[in-house]
Formats: sequence, C-alpha cells, structure tokens
Amino acid sequence: MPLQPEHVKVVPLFGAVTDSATDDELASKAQRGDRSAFDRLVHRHQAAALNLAARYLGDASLARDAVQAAFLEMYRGLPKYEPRGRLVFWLRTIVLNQSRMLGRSTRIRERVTESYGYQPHAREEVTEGPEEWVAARQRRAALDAGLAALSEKLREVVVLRYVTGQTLEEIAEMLDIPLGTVKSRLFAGMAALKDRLGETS
Amino acid sequence: MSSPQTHRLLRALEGDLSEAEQQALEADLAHSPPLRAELEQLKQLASDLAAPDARVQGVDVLAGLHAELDRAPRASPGRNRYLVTASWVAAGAMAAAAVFALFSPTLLRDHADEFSAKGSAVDDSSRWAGIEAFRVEGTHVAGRVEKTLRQGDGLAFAYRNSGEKPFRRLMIYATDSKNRMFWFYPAWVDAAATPTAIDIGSSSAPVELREVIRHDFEPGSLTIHGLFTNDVVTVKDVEAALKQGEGLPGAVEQRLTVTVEAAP
Repeated sequence: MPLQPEHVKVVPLFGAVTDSATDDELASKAQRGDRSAFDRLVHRHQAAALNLAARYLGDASLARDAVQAAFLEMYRGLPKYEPRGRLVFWLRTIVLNQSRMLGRSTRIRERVTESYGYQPHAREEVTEGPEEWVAARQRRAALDAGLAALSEKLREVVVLRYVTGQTLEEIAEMLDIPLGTVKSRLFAGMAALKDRLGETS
Repeated sequence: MSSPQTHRLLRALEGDLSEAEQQALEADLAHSPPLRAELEQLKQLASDLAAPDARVQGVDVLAGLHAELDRAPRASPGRNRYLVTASWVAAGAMAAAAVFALFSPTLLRDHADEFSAKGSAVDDSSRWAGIEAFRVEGTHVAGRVEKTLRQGDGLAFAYRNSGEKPFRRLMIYATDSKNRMFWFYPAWVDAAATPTAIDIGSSSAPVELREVIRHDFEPGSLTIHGLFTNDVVTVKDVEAALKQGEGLPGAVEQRLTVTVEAAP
C-alpha cells in the first residue's frame, strides 16, 4: 500500500499541469524552442495516447515505446505544424502509426498470452473482491486476445471509435477511407469481439 | 461475418438506423430477451473498451522522452531557453559528474553501499547509471543532497544512464528507520493503482526529472533508493521484494543514506 498518500504533494516546476493554455498556444511556444511548453503538451495528452497504444498493441511496454516515439516524432514535426486546433488529431495519427509499426514487428498474439498468464499484483487486488477481480481480469484478457486476433484494419477502427471516442467521420478522415468502410469495419470488428468474449464466458 | 441481428444492434448503437428501423428494433427488443441480452453484451463491450487501460495508468513517458530529445535535439531558433529555465542540475551540483562517477560499475566493489547489483542477469561492465537527489526549498533548488535533509524539504532528482546496454526503467523511493516506504518515481498516490517504473532513455549527461516531491519524513535516518531495471517493475513488486528481503532479478540499486533533521 502507498504510505501516507495524502502527504504526497507533487509540485510541477515549470507551470501547473492544469493550465488554460490551448494546445495550439503551447505548440506555438514549443515551435519557438520552449520545451517546457512541449512538456505540458505531453503531460496533457500522454494518458490518452498510452490508452490508445495499449489497447491497439495489447502490451503496456510496447505502448510506452510507441507513445514515446510518437511524441518524439511530434516534437520533430513541430516546425511544420500549423496551429489550427488539430493537434490532438495529429497526435492520434502519429500514435496509431507508431503502434502499427511496432505491432507489425512484434508477435502481438504471443505477448497477449504472456500478459494473461502474468499476474504479479493478484495478492493485493484479490482483497478488493476475488470474484469480481477474477471476472474483470478474465474479461480484460479476453478483450486483449480478441483485439489481437482482429486484422489491423478492423482493430484500428474499433480502437479509434471506442477507446479514443472519435466520431465515424473523424475516423474516415484520419484513415482516409469512406465513411461506409469505417462502418463496415467497425461492425465487423465489434461482432468478432463480441463472439470472442462470448466464447470465453 | 456478423449475423444480421448483431449488425442491426451495432447500427443502433451508432445511431445509424432510420426512424422506422429504430421503432421496429424497439418492438423486437420488447419481446425478445435474447435480443436484449445481446444488446447489453455489446454495450458492455463498448464500455470495457472505453475504460482506461490499467496497465498504462500513471505511466509517464516524459523522462525517457527528454533523454531522447537531449540526445538528438530538434534544430530550433530558441533551443537554449529550456536549458536556461532548467539548469538546476548544473546550479545545484557543482561536481555532478564526479558524483555520478561514484556509481560507475567499475567502482562497484568499492562502493557497495551506494550502488549494489542485485541478481545475476546484469552485465555491469556495459552500464553506467546513477541518480542524484536535490533538496528543494519552496520552488528553489537549494543544492544537492549529501548527508542531511530538513523536514519539509522537497526533493527533485536527476539520473544518468549510459553505457553499451543502458537501462530502460527507473524507480526512486525512500525507506526510513521504521521500514516505511515513500515513493518518488513513479508517484503512488492511489492505493487502487499499481504504477510501474518510469521509462528512461540513455544519456551520459544528467537528465532532470521535472517534479518536486514532498513527503512528511520523520527525523532520523532515511535511505533513498534508485532502482534501475529493464523490466516493467511495479511498486508492489518492489514492496514485496523488500518485505522478503530479496532483490529484484536484473535490477541494480543505488542507495544514498541521509539524516532527516527536525524542522527548526
């Protein structure tokens, strides 16, 4: 258990995390060489980026690598960024591309299996409610396995729609595919996932 | 290929049905428990997908990112601004390089208290790593931590990680004479969460971790631990290892023991 968590105070040195600056304002500062502004962008968006990559890749360690590489690519691409309120959209595209590249070079299905068998935190979590914990864990593992079994095209649409919450139109624009194709991939992916989870339960 | 029924339900969830189709579906749902069950299944699936992935909650990529950026910075007209605002390593540690050298694996045997290898998987001849702790008063970095701390002081850290096979992850925590643990990196403020070691990159220059962390230490002895590893080690892994008096395989630990003095 964490000791005295109420006594932990984290004080950002370079500006509060909950600032009111827009992404574009921070990006503009970062373009002029202000790396603390870039840090604030990372703080602001890394959780969502990690979530996207982790669901896509099914592996936390790979997700970190993908997100770190994505922010690096974003930083290097800043000189060409035009501040038009689309930084998140741009970042998601980069994260997805990095995840794809990493996923192609890694045997995802094997990693998911390893992850399912590795339960280092069971002792602590079981105390919160063994049956619920086991059920939730099994559902998560089945979800990972189901996502990993999907083709890349189906998986990316499912993840963009439900993990990042993008609209179907945004997904169509990001992937440069027709809206009808987004729908058909989404429905096929979700149906396959549902079947997979049904088999598991 | 999804069944027509599943396809219809998925379209409904996306608001893709016409008004007539929606009404027909609602009528069918009213009379079909299996159809309602399938709809609930799909809603649960959507909910599970939307839930935050616990494996990456609390993960901070910033430290590793800094190391990468410092190694190959982007050409930029204002690139020195960052160094001006973040020069506390240089300001606070006049002999940082010399201190880091203490943790060189080549001097491992002579400085076992400061830097002890645990486990057999570490090739120490290929790594050179260490942390530095800095005392912070308010938001002012007062200097490098050497032998004493004062109650109420904040701590900030920097690390160095180089060699042929640099480490990929780092944890920093402290233990006191009552065997209590205080976490710095990763932050552990929610008992329900299980944060993992932070990512670090390779850097022969000190990499500053950007937060000041304050704990309520009691006066007495305090040991600060810097644990370098390649694995995704969790705070609970470390806690369990400490309780059992065992090291973590493949991890290398550096220790710095200081005395916490009572606040005036």
